[in-house]
Amino acid sequence: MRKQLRISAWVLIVAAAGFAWSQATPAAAQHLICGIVHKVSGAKFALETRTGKVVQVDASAAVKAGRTAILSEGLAISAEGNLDKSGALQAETVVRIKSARTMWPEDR
Amino acid sequence: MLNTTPALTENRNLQAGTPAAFATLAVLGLLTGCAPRASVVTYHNDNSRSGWNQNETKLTSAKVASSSFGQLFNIPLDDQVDVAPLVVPDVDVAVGSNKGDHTVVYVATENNTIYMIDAVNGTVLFNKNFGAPVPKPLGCPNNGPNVGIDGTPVIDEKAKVMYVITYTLEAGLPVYRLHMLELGSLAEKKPNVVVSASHTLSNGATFNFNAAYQRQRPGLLRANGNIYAGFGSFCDWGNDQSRGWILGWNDDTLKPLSANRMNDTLPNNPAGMFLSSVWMSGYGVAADENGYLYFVTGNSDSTNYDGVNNIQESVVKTPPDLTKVLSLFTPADQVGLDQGDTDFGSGGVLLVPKQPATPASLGAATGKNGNLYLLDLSNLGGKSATGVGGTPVSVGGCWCGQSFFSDGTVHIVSSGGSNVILWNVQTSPSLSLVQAATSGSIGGAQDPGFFTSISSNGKSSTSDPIIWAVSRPNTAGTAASPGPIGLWAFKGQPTGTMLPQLFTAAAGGWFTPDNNANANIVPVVANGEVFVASYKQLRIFGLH
Repeated sequence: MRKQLRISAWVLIVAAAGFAWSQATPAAAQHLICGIVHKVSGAKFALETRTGKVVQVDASAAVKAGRTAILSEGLAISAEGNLDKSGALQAETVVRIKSARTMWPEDR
Repeated sequence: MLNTTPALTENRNLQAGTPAAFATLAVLGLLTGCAPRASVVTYHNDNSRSGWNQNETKLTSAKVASSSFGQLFNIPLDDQVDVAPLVVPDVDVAVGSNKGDHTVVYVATENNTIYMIDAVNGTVLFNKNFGAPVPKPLGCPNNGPNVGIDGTPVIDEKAKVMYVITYTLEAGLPVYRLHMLELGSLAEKKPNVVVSASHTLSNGATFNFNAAYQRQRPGLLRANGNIYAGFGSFCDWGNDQSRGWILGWNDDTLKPLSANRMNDTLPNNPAGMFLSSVWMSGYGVAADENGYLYFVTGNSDSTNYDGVNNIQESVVKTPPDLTKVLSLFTPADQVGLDQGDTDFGSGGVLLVPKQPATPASLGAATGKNGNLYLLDLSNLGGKSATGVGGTPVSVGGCWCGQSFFSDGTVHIVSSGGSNVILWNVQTSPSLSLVQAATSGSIGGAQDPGFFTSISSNGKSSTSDPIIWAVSRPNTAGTAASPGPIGLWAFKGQPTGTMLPQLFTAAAGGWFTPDNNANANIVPVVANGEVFVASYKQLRIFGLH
């Protein structure tokens, strides 16, 4: 009985840790946009894309989940998330990318 | 299937293990008359991380510049390589179909596979996999699709063992394990140990190491009868969980040291950000002749540096038992470095081996902003705008690490931006770094910087030093056609203010699905050969 309890407790610990690990890995998002960070205000910023277009990004979810690079003016980043009704990207992840635009991943 | 990339200037490619390869090496053996002997058992050759092999008798600048030098073998591997190859002569290989005495090059991949390859004929003698790697940890794209063995192993040649840390997904969870492997068979000499640790925060609470959030990237260090490893983060993500650690284990028992180093021991942060990571683009944690450890930390919350409980953006010196910080150097612009994600810790710290000409034990460190500081290792100087050598010199952005050699003059070789720069350590009238010469650009479109190593025949003015470098790719490439990387060689003794180029050739490729992982490739030179490990391949260069 004691052994069973011990095994059950162990299973629970592993399951909980597994849940935590799965939560730590983001689900695939709909859009990925690369660009240069401008006008940082908290978790929000303007992203100048490779075509010169400016996309507003709200990285609150990425910040909350701890999946963001340090947001700094002039930094090249890719933001991944979904577009809201206003056309702003609700980013779930933000990652620093290379300065050379030839090395940026394709937007989608 | 081999990945082939267009040669920059050379394209002599013998397939490893073919009759042509063996015939070539037989001729090579007749010409040289003896088997290779030098070994490279740790990241950048020694614990000072000099990158200098001063016992290279075969690779003279004249021969490297001639048509007799080029690629000998291209050996396919099972995944990306982020570690430096290691080379050991006279290994009694006890497994596989080629048992017996070999000079072995050991290469570890992100698939947790270690290869034993005959350095003389390119034959894969044996390989062993240590478990499923962790796929894209936290979703971070600053690595390949797998993270397995990410830090360069270290070898104890006398004990004939290799220490390596694997990263495996076990029952759905990431786990680090420290292994002690027999050099001749890769069998576990002692039971491997799961990496775990805890540290007391400044408020007395306990914080536990969490393998899911920590990246073991710096080269391992063997010193003081211990093995040491540094840890950082994946993409700065999970920065409420990830903190910079240095952990140590007894190198005989693999028992963890009673103390460890954690670089941010603050209990709380309104921004939920800790880090102060140890990553150094893979450069090894260093140790001096007294066994003191040195490493560099990366960014953290810009507002809470205090030099005690949070020591981001700093060169740090600790005793062998990791119980305290003995000294540190933090650039005066730490706040700006933190706020701009301009890690000082993107590069490692080189310890300049004690030279008669230098008044003190010196170190040299630079990071993303390319300010190279010369430091006095006996007192790193605290928070300061200058090192011991005065105002820092500019070397170009550095996701990289320095090399060192002496040919009568003490030199530091920087590799920021896309140029090798040769610096003389000037002692009079004041201690400073003086630029002696620079190379032409070696290109590279990833983050700035690259890695070098040095070969020479001794350390006199006639030692004929050669500076080797591997350039990062100019294009992203694909899995089928990775972005080409290049091997470059420059004469270490300048002509005027230039380092004459001796050689360049395609040396492999680089590919990661998100195009966001730097090729931190270190050329390794031993016994007339140069080893370059990259995406799914090891190329060996030498004299035909």
